[in-house]
Amino acid sequence: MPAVRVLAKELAVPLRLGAAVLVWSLWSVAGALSRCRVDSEELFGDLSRLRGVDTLWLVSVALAAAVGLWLTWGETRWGSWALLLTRPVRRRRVVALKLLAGALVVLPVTALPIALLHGWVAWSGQAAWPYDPASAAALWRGWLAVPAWYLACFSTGLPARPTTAWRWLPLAGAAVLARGLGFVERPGWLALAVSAALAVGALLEAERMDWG
Amino acid sequence: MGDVVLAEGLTKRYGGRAVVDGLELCVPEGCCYGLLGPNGAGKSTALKMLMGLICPDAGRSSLFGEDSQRLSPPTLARTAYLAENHPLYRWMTIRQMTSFARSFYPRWNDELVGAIYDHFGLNWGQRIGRLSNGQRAQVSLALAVATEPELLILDDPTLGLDPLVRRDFLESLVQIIAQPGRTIIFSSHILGDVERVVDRIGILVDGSLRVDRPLDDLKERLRRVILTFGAPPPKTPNWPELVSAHRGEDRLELVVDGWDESVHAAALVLAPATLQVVEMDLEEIFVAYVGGSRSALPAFGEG
Repeated sequence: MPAVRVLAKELAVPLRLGAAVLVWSLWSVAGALSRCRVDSEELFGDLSRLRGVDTLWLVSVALAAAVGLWLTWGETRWGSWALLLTRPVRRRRVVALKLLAGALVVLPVTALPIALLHGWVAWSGQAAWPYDPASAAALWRGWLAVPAWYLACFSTGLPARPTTAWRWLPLAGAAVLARGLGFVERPGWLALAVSAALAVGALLEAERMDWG
Repeated sequence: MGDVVLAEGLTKRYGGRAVVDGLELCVPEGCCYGLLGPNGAGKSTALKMLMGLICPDAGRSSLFGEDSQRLSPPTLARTAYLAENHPLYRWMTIRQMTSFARSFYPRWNDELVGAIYDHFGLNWGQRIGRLSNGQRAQVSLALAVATEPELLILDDPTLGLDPLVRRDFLESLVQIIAQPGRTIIFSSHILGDVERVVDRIGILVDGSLRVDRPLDDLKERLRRVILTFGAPPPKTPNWPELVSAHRGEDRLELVVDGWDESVHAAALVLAPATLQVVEMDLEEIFVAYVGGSRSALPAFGEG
């Protein structure tokens, strides 16, 4: 019951943000497709260059950052960690539930517009040209950095890091990942490794940091 | 009765400065303990360390025998902590906030919460963000006592409240929190608030506990001794009982812990023209410990 309550509380604001971003993203994708003719070459090149779709990545990162910071820096800003962490629940669990709540909003909301665009293009009969799976590769590659951005902002918002450099370390990690994704053979594994490291780092730190 | 709260050599440094310096604290079951200190003395930091919200640089503390840094949910369920400035989720209504807090506890007194809200004239539908400081303090208090905690830690609960609201809040607080067997730690820099509630006093100065005694004992033993001389006073005596000294042009004011025959005799050795022994209230005691030895201000406007 407390877990459900914490999750519901953490979801309240990110859900609103996510809904707004989802509507905007779907609107952008629909607008981009409506501008392309069925036999348009644009649909068979790099989909990330489509006008309207080219800003999806930026909006996704902005959502990830906003949700991540809301969940942690928001509590720091209002001094409400003391309220939350003196409830009879393990701290690691509270942080894990926060992480989960943000992920439940950020990941589907940012992936859905890409998946719909990809599906529409791949759908048989939608285009006169043969379907090329590589056309959406850049979009998905960009999306792979979104979880890391979310986790980095989440970690950065946690209170009382020993040094400023340490505070910005997660963000630097996400930035390096975003840049590096274009150069590696298996970007999915790299993104997973960085995201897992950020999530585990936040959970481990939850037990021994200064929350006051 | 065992010790509910225990701190041994608790130390916290920020930027090389010890905010709490080797704090030794022991609060037995059923005690209402007043932790006093001027602003910045380390009261909040000490209480946050007790609650495990801040990691100490040295020393350890425990609640109900459990290390503060590893408090289990059952121990947290027995404890209520009223943080300074009364943090609550501003985007929630009072009903949502109450329902959120309630979900964590196996024991929750709905009747008491309702009675407190009614008493303070709070509306369940009001948004927390639109409440005044005083109203947020009232909601925080209701949420803290609703769990019927065995240990209640109040960190400067009247901080930021205007005098009228503070008085009303304190009146209610005294009625609400007092319960047989409940252990209370009440920190404040407003002495009148503490004096009415507590039975033991700790005075924190520069991160160290300078006093830790029953309030009655403190009032019983501390005396202000006013010695007047026809000339400039002699050198301040170096008695072990001396808490603070204040030198005037022709007088010496000494605060003495434990006024008895031997100290009286020692005072007479100074050959004063007059000797007056005055009882002290908590505020004067506090100033004596916190202010320490100071020289007198020049007498403005004289001459």
